[in-house]
Amino acid sequence: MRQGLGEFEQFVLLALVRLGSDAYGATVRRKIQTCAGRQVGISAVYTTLERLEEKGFVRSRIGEPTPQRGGRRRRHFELRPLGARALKEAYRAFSGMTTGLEAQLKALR
Amino acid sequence: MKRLLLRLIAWAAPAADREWIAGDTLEELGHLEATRGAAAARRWLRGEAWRVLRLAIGCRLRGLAVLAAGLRRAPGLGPEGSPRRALRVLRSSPAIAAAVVASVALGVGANAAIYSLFDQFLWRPLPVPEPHRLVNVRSPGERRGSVSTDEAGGSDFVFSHPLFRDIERGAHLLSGVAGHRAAFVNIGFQGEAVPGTAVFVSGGYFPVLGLHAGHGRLLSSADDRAAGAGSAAVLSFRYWQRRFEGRRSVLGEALLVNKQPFTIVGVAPEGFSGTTMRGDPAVFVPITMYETVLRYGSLEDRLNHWLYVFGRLEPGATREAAGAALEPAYQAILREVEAPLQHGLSDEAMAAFESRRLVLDDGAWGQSTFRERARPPLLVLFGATGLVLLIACANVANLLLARGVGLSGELAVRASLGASRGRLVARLLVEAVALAGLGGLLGLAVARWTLDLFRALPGLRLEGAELQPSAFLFCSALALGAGILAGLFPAVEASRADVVAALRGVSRQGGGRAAARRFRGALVTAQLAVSLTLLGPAMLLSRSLAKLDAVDLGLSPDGVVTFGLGPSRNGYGPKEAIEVVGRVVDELRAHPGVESVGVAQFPVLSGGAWTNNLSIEGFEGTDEEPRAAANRIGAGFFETVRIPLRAGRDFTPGDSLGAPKVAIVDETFARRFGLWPDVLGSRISLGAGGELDIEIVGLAADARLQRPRDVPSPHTFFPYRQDANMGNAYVYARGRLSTAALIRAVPEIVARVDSNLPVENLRTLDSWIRETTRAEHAAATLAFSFAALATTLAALGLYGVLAYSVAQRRREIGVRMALGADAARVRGLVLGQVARMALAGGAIGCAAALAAGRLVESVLFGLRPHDPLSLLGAAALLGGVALIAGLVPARRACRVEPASALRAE
Repeated sequence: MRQGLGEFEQFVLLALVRLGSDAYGATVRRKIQTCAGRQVGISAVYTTLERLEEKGFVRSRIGEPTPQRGGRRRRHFELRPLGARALKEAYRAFSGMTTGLEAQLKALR
Repeated sequence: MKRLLLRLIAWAAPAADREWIAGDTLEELGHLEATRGAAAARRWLRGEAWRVLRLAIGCRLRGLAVLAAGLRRAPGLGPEGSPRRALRVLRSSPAIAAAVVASVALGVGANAAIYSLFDQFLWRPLPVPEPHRLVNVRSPGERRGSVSTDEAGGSDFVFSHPLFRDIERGAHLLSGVAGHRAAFVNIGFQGEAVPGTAVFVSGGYFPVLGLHAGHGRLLSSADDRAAGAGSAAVLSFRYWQRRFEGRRSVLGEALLVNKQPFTIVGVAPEGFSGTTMRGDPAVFVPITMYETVLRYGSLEDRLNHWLYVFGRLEPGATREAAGAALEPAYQAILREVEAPLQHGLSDEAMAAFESRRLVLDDGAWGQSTFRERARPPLLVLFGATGLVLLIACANVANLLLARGVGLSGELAVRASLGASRGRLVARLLVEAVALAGLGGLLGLAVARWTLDLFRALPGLRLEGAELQPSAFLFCSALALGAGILAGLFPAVEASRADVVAALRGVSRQGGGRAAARRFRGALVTAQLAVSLTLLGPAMLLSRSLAKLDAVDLGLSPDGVVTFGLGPSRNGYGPKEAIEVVGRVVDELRAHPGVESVGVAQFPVLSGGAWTNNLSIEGFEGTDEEPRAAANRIGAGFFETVRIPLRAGRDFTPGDSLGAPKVAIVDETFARRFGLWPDVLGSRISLGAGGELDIEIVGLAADARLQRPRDVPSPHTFFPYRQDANMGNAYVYARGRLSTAALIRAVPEIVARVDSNLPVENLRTLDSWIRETTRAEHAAATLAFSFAALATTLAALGLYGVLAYSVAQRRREIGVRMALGADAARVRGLVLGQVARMALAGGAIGCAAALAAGRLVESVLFGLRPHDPLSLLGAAALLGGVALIAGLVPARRACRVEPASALRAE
């Protein structure tokens, strides 16, 4: 079954692509904030990641504890093929709709 | 603030994601602090907490939201239901509104504080994965030989080290077994030694708990291979932060524990501070170093019980099954290894010993006597604050009833314009709930103050108490409940407004309907009863405290100064320790301001005790084998604390290692064990069945040396100079000078012997003794605080009802006075009302106070729970307060002018 991606889900997946092996709640949140300019909560990121994991788009593994986190462990995420395909599809649809409109979109108020 | 927000975020996160979300938040906070400054980081954290809270409340209170939505759409409520509108009452009757808000705030706040304590100290499991699979191992039954316990549990919980290893090997259905024991040590780092707590742990300790190092590594089975081996030390996270400022470079550095060298290999995870509640360990070291570091205890001796044991159930295993699986191996060890060591047991006692079992208790909360000790007083406190809340609710109901009568005109107009009854009830109820909600908010502040009070009472030992985030929810739920409970009857009652009568303005005269009047009277009666229920036990506690303070200890602390010395913590061996303590004593004696000096290995009146079982010449033991408290003391001890010697001699410096062993016993000892009166020259020995190698050379008078409330028990004293394991000692000095001058002189005198030997706990013996009743002082203070709060609220309620009823009965009183009633009669009318309520309330309250007295029975000293004097005192106090509350309205009633009262009609 094909599933579409919500906007925030796209953000999260794109952040995973950008971060590569360094993707976990805090870095994903930071990426979305710096790139998309959106204020989001860490727990919202996790809620979304969990949903994506259920759909089979991402997978996670538990990392080692580090002292700057008070000895707590990290949960790292990475993109799975299914997620990559969905992201590509979303990008294709979006760019298909926007091709040739760049100037017009910029001019919109 | 920062910590609270972090905790809030962790709390609001789903349990499964808590670890990473909390970790991410902490990490992000550090990142922001480093890149954009502390202020920006704080702002972000606040925003994050707010986002999380909205999310969490959205999820957790979805049920409530559905309810609220249903209520909004409920027929008849309409705009009347808007809380904003309801809060107009604040403007229209500010006095009533303020009284309602204050009552709810006091009642709810006190409860939220206690709830918070429960949450923090009794309900929260250890911060380890799957805490509910942890089990504490216990073996009920008396232990022979040497038993030493600490805050982790009583004597049923301690095992010898060899027995622990047996259990470790024989464990089925347990994925691991671990042992631990805390001790007070000196911790040296780069030339500076600081006292602190070390936890000696077996290799399984951290693996069984399922913990990962915050930094470096934790201890494992590789670290506890053989006695005397193992030099790795793991710092607790807090100690790492506190003493080493969280520097990673401490890994690999040397650490001295009682001058024994260790290497720091890691840091325990944040939030983990051992398995003993409220323990604050500095460092974890292998249990194989126990004997080496402490110079007492034994890793080999099966008659030396000191080690606490816990384990982790395999997934799916039950405690019962795991306990049963341990049993065969344990029974075999008992029969074959342990039983032959138990000398001199009768057959019956031996059978009891061999049928001893292992019991596994739920270990999710770690091992701690604190939970057991704290639960009953906290429950009693919860009961007390619950009663205070009930009184507050009664006040609120009373005030709202009065307001309802005041509103009757307005309500009648609305009713005549077609407002349904349900709509009127809803409006009044929403008003009550809105006021209660405000009270709940203020209640949070009250809860904070209440916790401040708890922390300030040292006897409670609740130093770390903090308001828990969960208390916020509790507070709002309680306020909501209080609003509905207190608002329902007044709302229904006020909505009954008789349209015609109200519009004609006659309803003001009756003081409300008869049912409402009776209800208000009943409320006040109940308030008085509840107040007495709290005052009774408060009286009992304070009378018991007075008796405790007046008890004859059998010694005289006036003018005595005491301090501790820990030569073994400074690397002295037993013989040198005896030397050093002896030299300090000599120096003190030589001081012109000092009259006499004594030494005791265990400080007197510290609540703890060292007990031994003994063999006594001529005493034919029944199964109850002779046991006595023991202490090691020096020459001059009895003289210094003024315990009279009844016969024989005091110890002398000549009673040293190598000299014939001697002892002094007290009168209770002599009588209990059949040595009276010819005790001198009798022989005893420590432990059962050995050679009677100790001669009794002195007989001391009885004194209460453990706690002032203890009944006299047998005591034995041995010379500290004959202690082959001498480690630490307390010194007692009686001065010709003032104690203040003596306290100033002591450090210098000790420094003359060894300038590196710290003087610990230097104070007067008097203040030391006062400390022993600190818990009782705290209990009495708290009980009186809550009883006073309850009584004040009840007095306010009484005053309100009377003042209101006098105002309502103005016309009746006017008529009576016009017909010739004098002031005394009118006053009698009002005070009669007071007396009826006070008598009824007092009678019910007396019965309830008697029942409540039983709850505090266990802490009473020299009093029965039904002590008539206490109950009388409480009743008299309440009667006095009721009289004062009634006098003002009574005087107002006397001043009613018949003419004007009648004209007002």
